[in-house]
Amino acid sequence: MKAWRLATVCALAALTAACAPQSKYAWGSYESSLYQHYKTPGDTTAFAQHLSETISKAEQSGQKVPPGIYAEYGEVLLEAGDTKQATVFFEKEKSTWPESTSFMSTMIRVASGSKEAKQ
Amino acid sequence: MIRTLSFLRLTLALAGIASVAACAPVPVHNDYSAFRHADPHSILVVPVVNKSVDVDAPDYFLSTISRPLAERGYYVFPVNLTKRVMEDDGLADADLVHANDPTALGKMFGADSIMYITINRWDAKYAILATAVTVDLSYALKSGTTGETLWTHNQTMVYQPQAASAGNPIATLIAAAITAAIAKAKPNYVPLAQQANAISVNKAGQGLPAGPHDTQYKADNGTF
Repeated sequence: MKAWRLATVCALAALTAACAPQSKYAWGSYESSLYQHYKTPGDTTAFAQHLSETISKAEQSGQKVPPGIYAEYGEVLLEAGDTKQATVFFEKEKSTWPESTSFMSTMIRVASGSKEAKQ
Repeated sequence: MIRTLSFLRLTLALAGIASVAACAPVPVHNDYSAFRHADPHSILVVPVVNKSVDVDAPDYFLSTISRPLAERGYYVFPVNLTKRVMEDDGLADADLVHANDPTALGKMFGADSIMYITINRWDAKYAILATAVTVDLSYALKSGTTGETLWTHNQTMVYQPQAASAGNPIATLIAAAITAAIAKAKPNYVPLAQQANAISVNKAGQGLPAGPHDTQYKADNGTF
């Protein structure tokens, strides 16, 4: 049973590998935690924790943090009212991905500008 | 006389070959000239239009789209943050956003391209002999600077428990993910959506050419 399952996984991996060689980024639990977040919208704490873990695991292993993840974490922090840390992660997104410069500059302005603007 | 006849025969034979060749299935290959010219580096995924009856489909779908696009070599804007910002700016209505000018969004986010996705089907039809789970998606990528359409694709994935036993490894794997859920009459659409995304993005001649963060960037003209 186990061997059969392994064979299936290998076959699928081979098939997929033909299209996309290997994973460029360490996605961690990003996809599943985002799905869970939408399934139970109130639960921001779990989403924040999963994002934080995904980032630290990737950084520790020396793998690249996928595009957007620093910014997603920054947004959760901003919602929790931690504008200082939010800015740190928006800055991280900006320096890691120059493509995000314009958007992240806006987010940093929102975060540092005024809490009232968010509320 | 004989010579004329054999010449005629040869001509006919050649014509026959030519017509057969024309009918032979030629692999479909998209026109990538607009895409190559625009050369997008970043993709902004905007709220997904939902034509299915499942109100949760757009949110669930959103969790599956970043990875395949990013792994293809593009910068993908954070989908959840984008969603929140757009909601705050009164752009939560997907139908309205899809009808609006892409260049406005391009400017707002600094995005090279905008990805518009429509969920056509996201449903399960239950029957004693032929239960089927279907995910049907349309994709359109438009330039954030000119608004021009750069790429379109449509992908349908159908999962039928009966077909899974035929030995198709993909079907078998999806079966493993879905079968248990079906038993509870609450199918898990995510594996089907992931499969649809993977095919749409990677399929030779029809998917997206490799982006700037991929080693194949600008080296895959033969395939795309």
